[in-house]
Parts: sequence; C-alpha cells; structure tokens
Amino acid sequence: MSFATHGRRPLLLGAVAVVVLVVVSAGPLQVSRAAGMTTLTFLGPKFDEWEAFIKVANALGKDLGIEVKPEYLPWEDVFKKALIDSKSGVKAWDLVYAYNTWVPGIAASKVFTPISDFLSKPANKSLVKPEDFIKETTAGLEFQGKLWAFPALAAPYVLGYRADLLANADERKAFKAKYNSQFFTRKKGDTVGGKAAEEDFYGICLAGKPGGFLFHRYEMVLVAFGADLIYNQTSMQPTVNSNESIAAAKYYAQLHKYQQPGSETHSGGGTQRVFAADRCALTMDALDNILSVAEVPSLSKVVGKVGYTLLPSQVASRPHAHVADANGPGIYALSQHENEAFRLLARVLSTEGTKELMKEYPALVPMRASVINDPQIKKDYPKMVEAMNAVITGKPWTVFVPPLKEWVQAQEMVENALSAALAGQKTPEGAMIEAQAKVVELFKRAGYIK
Amino acid sequence: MVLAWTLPAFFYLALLSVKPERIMVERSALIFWPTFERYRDIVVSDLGLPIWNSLLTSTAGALFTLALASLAAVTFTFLDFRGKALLFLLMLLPRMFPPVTTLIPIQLAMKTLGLIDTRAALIILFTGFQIPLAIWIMRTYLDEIPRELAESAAIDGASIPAIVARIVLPLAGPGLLAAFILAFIFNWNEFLFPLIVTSFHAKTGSVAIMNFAGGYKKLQWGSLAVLGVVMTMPVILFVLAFRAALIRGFTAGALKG
Amino acid sequence: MTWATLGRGRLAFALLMLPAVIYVLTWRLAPALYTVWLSLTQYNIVYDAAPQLNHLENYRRIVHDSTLGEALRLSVIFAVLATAVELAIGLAAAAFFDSDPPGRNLLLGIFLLPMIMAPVVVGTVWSALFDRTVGPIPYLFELLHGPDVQWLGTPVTAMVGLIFSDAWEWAPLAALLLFSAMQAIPREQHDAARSDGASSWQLFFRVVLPQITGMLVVAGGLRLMDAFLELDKVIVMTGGGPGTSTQLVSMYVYKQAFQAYDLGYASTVITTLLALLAVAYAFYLRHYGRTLMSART
Repeated sequence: MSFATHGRRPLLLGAVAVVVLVVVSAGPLQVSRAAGMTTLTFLGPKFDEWEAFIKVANALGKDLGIEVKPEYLPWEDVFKKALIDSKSGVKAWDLVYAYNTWVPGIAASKVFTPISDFLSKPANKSLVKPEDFIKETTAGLEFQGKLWAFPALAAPYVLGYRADLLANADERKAFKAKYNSQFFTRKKGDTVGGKAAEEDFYGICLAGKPGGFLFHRYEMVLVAFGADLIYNQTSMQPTVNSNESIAAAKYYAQLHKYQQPGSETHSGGGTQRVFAADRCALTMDALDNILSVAEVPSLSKVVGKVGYTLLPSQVASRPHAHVADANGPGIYALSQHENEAFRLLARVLSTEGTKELMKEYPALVPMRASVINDPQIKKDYPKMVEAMNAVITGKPWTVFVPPLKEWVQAQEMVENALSAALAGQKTPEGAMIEAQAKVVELFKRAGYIK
Repeated sequence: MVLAWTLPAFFYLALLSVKPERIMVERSALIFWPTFERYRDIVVSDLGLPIWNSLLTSTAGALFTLALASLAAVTFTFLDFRGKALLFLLMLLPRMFPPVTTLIPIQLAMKTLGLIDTRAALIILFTGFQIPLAIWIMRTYLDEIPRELAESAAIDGASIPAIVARIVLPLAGPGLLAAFILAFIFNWNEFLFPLIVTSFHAKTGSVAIMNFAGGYKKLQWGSLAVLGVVMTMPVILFVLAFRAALIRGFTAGALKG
Repeated sequence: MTWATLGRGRLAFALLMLPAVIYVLTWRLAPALYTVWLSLTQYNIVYDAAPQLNHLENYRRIVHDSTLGEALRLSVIFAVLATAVELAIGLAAAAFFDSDPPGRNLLLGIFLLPMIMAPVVVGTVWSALFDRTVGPIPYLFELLHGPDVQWLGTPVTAMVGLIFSDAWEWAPLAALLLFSAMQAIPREQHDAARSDGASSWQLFFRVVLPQITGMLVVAGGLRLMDAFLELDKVIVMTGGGPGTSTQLVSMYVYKQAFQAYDLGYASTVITTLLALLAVAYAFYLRHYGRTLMSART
C-alpha cells in the first residue's frame, strides 16, 4: 500500500527531532567558574545603580575570591520571586535586592537573614562601622530591632523646585496678578522664565499611577499635615477620616489642578521626564529619582536649575515632613555562601566602595556620613550633598511604613479613595469617610479592633 | 481600511523605539535622527542564551503537545464513550484558571523533581498548557478525513495503531502544522511560569526582555517600545511565513473556548 | 459510522488518549484542585507558615465583599461592550475578506498580528498611544482642537480605552471565525442572489448573515468569557484605576494574590468565579455542539 511509505518518513523525522531536542535541552547546566572563585548570585531590578553595583562588586570582589552573577527581573517581581523560591526551598540566591516597604514582609516570611546577625559576629566587627550609617536614611531597612538589608542607596523624599523661576520675585508677582494663585501654572505661549512657553507649564508634577505611586506621594502630604498613616499605631484605630487626614486629602485634591493632565497614569520615572523637559515648576519625589533624570544632560533641559529642599510641615513642632525610602541588598536566608555574601557587601558598600559606585552611577544618594562629608564628594556632587545636608540638618519628622500585615490592603483602600477624589467621582471628604469604613472592616476582620 | 486599523500602532511602537530620549516627550517630533542605542543595549546584554532557551523549550513543548494531543484527538474524534463530553470539559477547564494560585504547587513539584531552573521544567509545563488547544484543533481536522479510507485499511487487516500512524496522522498534516505554530507562539509569549521556575540557566527570552521595562522608577517609553518590537518580531515573521496554515489553525483552534 | 463500530480496538483507542489525559490531570488539574483546597484556608504567603483551614471564613467574606461586587459589575460591562465592538468590527472585516480582495491571505495575516502578540506588549502599545506625554492620540485631539481627554485618567474614558485596545487585539479573532463561516456558504447562493438583482447590502443581510448567526453566537460566547477574565492589559494600562473604575475581577484577584499575598482569599474568589463560569461554559459547549451539528448537515 502506498500510504505506508508516505506515512513513515515524517513520523520518523518528528521522532528524531524530539529526541535531539530532549538531549540538547537536558544538556549540561553547570556554569564554568574560575578555580578558587566563589560565585554569588544577585537577584534585583535592572536599574542603572544595580548594574553599577554588580560591576563594582566584581572589581572589588576579585581580592576576596568572589564573583557576582546578576539575575535582573522587573522591579515588582523581585520580591515575588524571592518569596516563592524561599517558600519552596529553592537555594538559588545569595544576595537579593530589597526596598524598604518590603522589609516587614521580608522579616515575617524570613526570606533574608538579617544583616545585624552578621554585624554582631565578632569576626565581622572590624568590617563595618554601623555608626557611619546616616540614621535618617537607614531606619526604613530596620524592623523589630534588626537591620534586614545592607544600606546602599537612600531615597529621601524631597521637593525639587525650579530655582531659576521660583526665586525670581518679578516672575512670581506677575504670575499671581494674572492667575491669582501661588502656583506656578502657565498656558502654552505665556511667558515663563522670560520667554514664551512652548508647551503648557505646570505648577507641580506628581506621579499619580495607582498601585503605590499615588499613595507614596500622598503619604508625604499626610505627614506634613500631621495625620497618621492610615491608623494610630498605639490604639490600632483607623484614622482615615480624622480632621488632619481629610485636610490632607483636600489639599492633595486641590493640587491636582496644577498638575499635568494625564499624571494619573504616570510613574515616578514618567513624572521626572516631564519635569526634566522644562514643564513643571515643582516636583515631590525620591531624591535619587530626581537626580537621575533632571541632572543628567542627555535627558534633561533643566540641569543645574533645580533646587532641593525638605517638605514644609503644617505642624509647628515638626519643622519638616519626610518619608525616607531606602534600598539595599539583603542576604537570602537559604544562601549557601552567606559569609562570603556579607564580606562582599561590607567591601562594596564601604566608604571607598560607595565612592566607586558613585563614579558608575552619579545619581546615587549614599547612606554613609563618611561619604557625604568627603571633600571630593562635596565638590563632585554638590546637588546631592546640598539635599542630603538638608535632610540631616533639617531634623525632619521622618515616617516609615508601619509594620502591619494588612498594610498593602489598607494602603490600597486609601489610594483608591484618593484616586476617586482626584478623578472627581467623589469629594475628598466623602471618599475618605468611605475608605475609613473599609479600613475599619479590614481591622475588625484581622481582630485589631472590635 | 484593514491596514489602517492594525498597522499605525505598530508603526508608532517602532517610531518610539528609535526616538532619542531627550525629545521623547515632544510629540510633534515625528522626524528625527533615529537612535539605535536601545537595540544595541539589548543585543549586547546576553540575550543569546535566553532566546535559545525560548526557542528550544517552545519547540520541544509544542512537539510533545502535538504527540500527546494528536493521539488523544484520534480517540476523541472516533471513539464514542460515555462521559466523553464531561472528560473533555475537564481537560479544558484548567485553561480558565488564573495561574496566580497554581504557582506554588508547581514550584514545589519542580523542586521535588529537582527540575528548578532547567529547560526540562519549562518543556513539561508548556506541554501541559497547550494540550487542550491542540486536541481541539486536531479534532477539527480529523473530522474531515474520509472514514472509508481507514475502514478499508482495517478490513485489510491493519491494526488500529498502524491505521493511526499511516493514514490518520499524515492526512492531518496541515492540522499538525497549525497546532504546532499556535502552541509555539503561546509558549513563546508565556511569562509568569518561566519567571517562577527558572533563574539563570533556563531563563526564557520573554523574562529576559521584560527586565528592560525597568519598574517603578524608569518608565522609559523608548525601552518599552524596543521590548515590544523585539518580542513581537518572531511572531510577525512566523505569522507572515505560515499565514495560510495559521488562518486555518485559528479558525479551528479558536473554538476551543 | 465510527471506527469503534467495527467492533474492535476500543482498548487501543483508550490507550491512545490516556497519556494526554493523565498529563493534563497531573500538571493542570491537580494545581487547580490545590486552588480549591486553598480557598478553604487562611493563607497569606508572607505571614503564614502554612495554609490553615478556616471553616469557610473566606466564603463568608466573599458574600460581603462590596469591592468584589463592583469588580464583577465592571467585568460584565467590559466583557459585554468589548464583545459587541469586536463582533461589529469582526463582521465588517470578515465581509471584506469574504469578497476576496487581492492579497487576501497577506492582509488577513497582518490583521491577525495583534491577537498573537504577547498581551503585555498589546497593553504597552496602547498605554503609549493614550499617554499624554508621548502618545499620538491626545496629540491628534490637540491638533484638531478637540477636547483635552485624559484617556486613562478618568473613569469612563479609561474603560473606553481598555475596550478599544481589547477590540484591537481580539476583533481579528471574531473576523477570522466569521470569515470561516462565510467561506462555508456555497458561492452559488451569492450568484443566485446577484442574478435576482440583490444589492451587496441585501446579499449580506438576506443571504450571508442568516447563515452565520450560529458562528456569531460562538464567537460572542468565546470572547465574553475570555474578556470577563481580562487581566494583562488592565495591569499594564490602568492598574485598575482611576479609583477602582477599571478594577476588573481578575485584577482584583491579582491584587489579593500578589500585592496582599492573601492566597487563601484569592483562591476563594477564583473558585467561586470558575464555578459560575463553568455553568456558562457548559451552556456554551452545548450550543457549540449544536452549531457544529447544524454546520455538518
């Protein structure tokens, strides 16, 4: 029969192809490594600063016999990946990037071994001087008395403002006469800085994307108005509808009209692009976020025109409001080389190592006093030092994410309410009263309140 | 008219991918000196291994899918038995399951089998994902095979496996091709499972390329656009090369529900 | 007549099917059953060491979950509108392809691209197109002195934007299905109608449309169910905002599972949803079977 010859060949080919593929795919997986070198793995986001970290770590690690292999993932997937790997006992990692808002979760799920466990070992005492860390910046990486990640990059929230425009009294007076407003918003064609604006010019640029960006900015206004972050940490009572909170919400909603339309979908980076494109008078963001865009000539039209200061506060006893974010690598609890990992971190994030890092990534905001006070650093990075000195000497009222299991849910409830208020669906007051009811329900379910 | 619906979005994506960073927010700037820096970044970033992994696992997964699914499709087409519809529903139902809650048991299973960060793990997963779809496509093709042909072979004394191997599968060739292409494309696009079960050695292209999206601080439209172009390129080539088979495959496969 | 009626080989057939069935049961159904089990537990992957059975507490919670109710409502709106748009565009495109334009397969191939792209990329493309700083859509409105619409920034337009991008991605599927149904109509019927002096419109409405209603239902049902569980574009384009105005039900599940890490409750929501969907699905399969039957006779 003719089909017999027709039928067999493709089938045979298919079978051969399958076998070949299986053999190829099951091929050797071992990485080649130089003799005597320990290879550490690093899990983190593909940001310039972490690429710089890997570069410096490999350069400085040579003497220690350590090399580092990075695995970059989208920022929001880093913790997810580490958590699920750690839950299933996968030992793939040594160093894992951490962001301060993740720290309570990292501590609860024991994904990391605390850095303080290493600091307290006698053999390590000579490696790191903890008192050199700037405490205004590192507290976000601490939880339950332990330091969970090695302080690397500070991200204090500050105001960046267009010093060239806002310092100009005539400019301000003319503006107020025309718009009867303190805020610096101009339409396309109006004069700004002595010439006609090519595009609309906005009073303030804030990232408004739901999923954290919006709440993070709102958080600073809450602090400035003296409100709790969602609840009173002593009584565990939700305070989303307190007078201070509602005042903050009203203020934030009122800022909205000085913002660029469309800011509702902007992330931090997106917002800084607008600021750097000479379209905003003011922005409120993490310092390194602003520095890494606005002060980089290839990205920015406003290099050198930006001033940095702390947020003003409505509360007399607190001269300034401040939310301190921080980033750092932690040591994965299932790491097979935790001592090497610690030694490497101590080396790369030392005073000298940090300076090397800054050569690779100039927007880095260091967390060590010895770096800020270094004369060469003062000369090379005047903007960063100016802002950091404001943070250190301004004695700001500093706030961190509270250690609450339900924090993400609670934060989302308030963020959604604020977002609805900004979109005009609800009044700020009404939105916050509704959010309060939801948070109360959440707290009741969790058993914090009756 | 059709082109005006589909293509402008692609062109704009390509445009953004080569637009210099400094003028990114100037929307009126449609003509400029293109920058290929971002493409260069991707080319130099060790994407070779991940893309090779993707090719290998997507292909192997699709082939295994075909092997298992075409056999099952023969039964589902030609054998009547009680509970057939129910069994079929049972096979299709997991497709509706959002993957988020199945990540942990799958990761645990892979850990137990010692398959974390291996291509084998991906192939196992990919094979399972596309079986229902492939069965559905194959059924549509098998329905069209003249049964007299097979029955006459049976009367001549050929065994059932022989009939399947010699008559049914060769005649279902186009169906196999369509099912293969679709399974390959879906495997290629898969993101969440490769993200979880792999890290260094078996990382796929979809995961490696996503890193360029940055995250909370650098929403870089240019990089995102490059990512879109790079991820879509193989798909475009595939579609244009195999459009006839694919069009048939989709009209059959889309009914999978 | 089927082979089985030849009287032998039932066992051989059953064996052919077995590997695939076992495979799907192990790798797909077993994890799904795990989800059902998780739905009965308190399990926050960050804070709980292991899942703890909690006496249907999650199911009690689901009944009172007003956010979920709102998400369901939005999902229904999204699914219905997106499906309607997709069917309308799909129908028009299918009619166009059915008229055998030159280069049909190439055009159709291009038209199909969006639905084969990774969903994340589709979301990225459309968020760029709608973005006010880099996007051409707001810019076009500005050039034409149209209203300054904050596409993804206001509740109604964000939903419109999502529906539009979904239509871009999936209208091709509707077109393809309807096209294949149209191709099945014997050409003689076209010719007969034409020789009776029918216009193209009359031909379409009197001859073509009545014969593809079955496929319209199939395509519609298919899209309704998939759109109901839409997730990727929501994550990329709006994140569920502004407020909760585009928080579709899958987004809600995603947030429960991956932002709050409350895997127990997320599983409960999924299980409940799928129980609902399975019912719809059974109806759909039945109808689909009937359509196939009528197509064959």
